[in-house]
Formats: sequence, C-alpha cells, structure tokens
Amino acid sequence: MSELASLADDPGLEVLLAAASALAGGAAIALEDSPGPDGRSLPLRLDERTVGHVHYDAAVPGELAELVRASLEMTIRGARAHASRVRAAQELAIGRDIQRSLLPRRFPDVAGWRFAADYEPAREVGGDLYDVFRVRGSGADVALLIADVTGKGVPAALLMADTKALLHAAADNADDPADALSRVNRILTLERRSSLFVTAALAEVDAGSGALRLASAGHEPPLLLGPGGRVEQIRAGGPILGAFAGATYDLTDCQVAPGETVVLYTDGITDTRDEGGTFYGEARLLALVAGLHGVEPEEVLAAVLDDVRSFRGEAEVYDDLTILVARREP
Amino acid sequence: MFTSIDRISDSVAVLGLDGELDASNYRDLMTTGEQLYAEGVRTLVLDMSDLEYMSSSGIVALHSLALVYRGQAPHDPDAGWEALHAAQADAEAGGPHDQLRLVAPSEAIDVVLERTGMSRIMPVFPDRAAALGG
Repeated sequence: MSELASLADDPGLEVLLAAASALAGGAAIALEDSPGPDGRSLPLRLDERTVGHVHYDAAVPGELAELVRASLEMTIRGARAHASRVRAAQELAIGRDIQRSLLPRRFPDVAGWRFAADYEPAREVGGDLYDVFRVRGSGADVALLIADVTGKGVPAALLMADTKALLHAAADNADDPADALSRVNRILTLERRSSLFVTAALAEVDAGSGALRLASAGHEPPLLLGPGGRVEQIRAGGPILGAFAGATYDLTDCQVAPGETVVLYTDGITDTRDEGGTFYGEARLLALVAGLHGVEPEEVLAAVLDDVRSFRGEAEVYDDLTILVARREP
Repeated sequence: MFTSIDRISDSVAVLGLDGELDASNYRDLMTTGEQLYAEGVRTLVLDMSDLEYMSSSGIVALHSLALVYRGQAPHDPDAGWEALHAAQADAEAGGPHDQLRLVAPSEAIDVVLERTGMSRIMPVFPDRAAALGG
C-alpha cells in the first residue's frame, strides 16, 4: 500500500471526489501518487511534504480542483489527528493497567498495625506507587514503600514496575532500607536504559516494638503523628534513584508509640493547586494532620484527600495523589 | 519559561528562567543549554530568581545539562544509556564540578535541589555576580 493509500483510507474522500466530479459535469478528478503528465495536477501537502497529487480533466475549473485539494488535505489531517488521539488513549489505558496492577490488592496482616492507602491518578498516567510488604532478612517485619517516577505514560509505569520488583528483592537481601536503596540505585544507574528518575521512601518496621528505620531517595519526608498535635517529619538524606551511580543513603531511626500514625505521601498532595494557582503546600498538610492523632487510618486518609480536593476545587489535576497511612494500634 | 539569554563572553552564558519549569517545557531548557554548549559556552549559569515552580521534570533537565557541560553526552531518551551511565559514573567520581551554576532558587526549589541530591553536583549562588565571579 502506498503512503497515500494509507493516509487516504477514508470513505469520506470517495464522496468528496465524486461530488467534485459531479459539479464539473462528470469530468474526472482523482487522487494519485505521482504528478499528472500535462500539468493538470495539484500537490497534496502534509507536514511540509508532498504525499500525493490531485489529477483533473481539462473540463474541471482550476478553482474547483483547488477546493478539492484543500479539502483533501483537511480530511487527511483530521483522520491522522484522530488516529493519534486513539493511540494516545490506548497508551494511557495500558499505562493505567500496568500501574494499577502494581498496587497491592490487600495489605498483609501485621499484628498490632493497621494500614490504609489511596491513589488518585491524574488525567495523564503518572508513576506513583505504594506498597506494604513483608521482608525477610533484616529482622524487621514489614516494609512501607512509597515512590514517584519523574515522568508520565507507559515508560514511567514500566520503570515503576521494575523498581518495585528491585526494591522487594533488595529489601529481602539488604541489611537495612538504606542498603536496599543503594542496591536498587546501583542497578538503575548502571544497568537500566532509562532517562527517568525515581524518588522513594522505604521504611522497615518492627511490629512488636514500633521501631521504624527509614531511608529516602529524594522523597518527601514521611510524617509521624503523635498526641497533642505533635507532627514530626522523619528525614533521611539521599539522592533520587537512577541519577548518581555511587549514591549512598542515610538511615534514620525513630519510634512509633502505640496509637501513633505514620503518613507517607507523594508530592502530588503538596503540589496540588487551587483555581488561582496557589500550591496546597507542606504547611497546610502538617497543620491538617496535627489534628488527626488517634483516629483510624481510613479517617486520616479521607481527611487529607477531602481537604486536598476541596482546596483544588475545579482546578486542573496535574499529578497523581498518593498517600499511605500506617497506624500502630493503641 | 525563558526571559533572557545573556552571553557574558564566548564561553559564559546566563539563562534567566521565570514562571514554571515543568513537563511542558523542560525539554526546551535542555535544547537551549545544548545549543549554547555547541556554540562554545562552557559555563552555564541558570538564574532562578524569577522561577516560581520547578517540577521533577526540571530535575531531569538540570541533571542532563550538568552532564552535557562536563563534556558528556546529552540525555537521549532513545539511545546510548549504558555509555552515558558509565561516563556519568566517571564524572561523579571526579569530584565537584562547576560548569553548571544555579542562582537564587526560591526556598521551595532549594528544598527540592537539596532533597534530590542535585545541589551535590551543581553549586548554588545567591546572585549573578557571585556565580560569575566563582
């Protein structure tokens, strides 16, 4: 099939050519790959290239031939734009499927702990991930993970799938979360073909004692909610995954007392904008969660998402919203 | 996103950024930086004093330009990643570099630069004069 035939695969073109021919008293007007021999042809242009020619009989007025040429160009451009929208929608659906398949269907049963999480995709596919999974080897019982890929679409979803698998394996085999992140970073920088980066916070929890060890790869610091409105940002230094080959990660220890809650989130929360373009911001999030000590994880989740959505109003959704809440039961 | 390109000399240029650096325009920044490099610029100063917001796409652009100005291949999403990553490991092992300099990021952007590790590979100056004198 010639390029023209594939571009002009639209029944509307036949109708258009037939109508033009009828207007010219039945004289021939046709769409061909090559220019006509006698000068009675007009080039069809697409993206500054000639993709075909409109041939016409001597009986066809030049203005009518020009009208046909212009109409054909518009029709072909419209068909191409439609095909490209269909492809984009298919890519979006594939990316969403990959991303959804990465989220846990249920959380593991961990004595004395309860978990809740939510993920709201933006219109474009982003690359957010959360997970709660059991770990072997490091002495901890369970790992909390939240991550965000700096990119959109299928490539971001694939990188996230890759990173999730690497992090699970690393968490099982590494000494601690910092060791796990540096192992994953080494693989992403040295072996993977990607121009995207990942921010991630990985916390390992000893369920019985409430001891939590955190490592972070350029991610927003998780929050520890205590009594009396106390909110602590659990900070651990370390660069994004995939950018610096020899990166090392700090390890931060803290203690989650009975009744206290840990909140992990992605920057989609703090970077949400209202209709005037103002950011939701860290300060508003900290002030909100300060009042949420002692409530169930599902309620923490709902309170944050409700506040973010009411702040956003009708403004455009730029980024995924992801939040993971872990509470040690009182 | 760009307000200005100032050629201080054959080898030094200042790019003034304003508004927002995000997924819609980070490739423009990479392209402009790479063009200046091709024209002989070897020290690129990014003046962020009027930049209000930088998304994670901005980080990708900064990282890419930092490598370009060390004489490494630019980020090409389609090809050559093993080579780039190997070159990058060498570059990072070589210690601090200052071919790409940042000026006056907002507090919010500074937090992102610090958190992601970008401030480890590109120095940040309080104003243009300090960046050009350094």
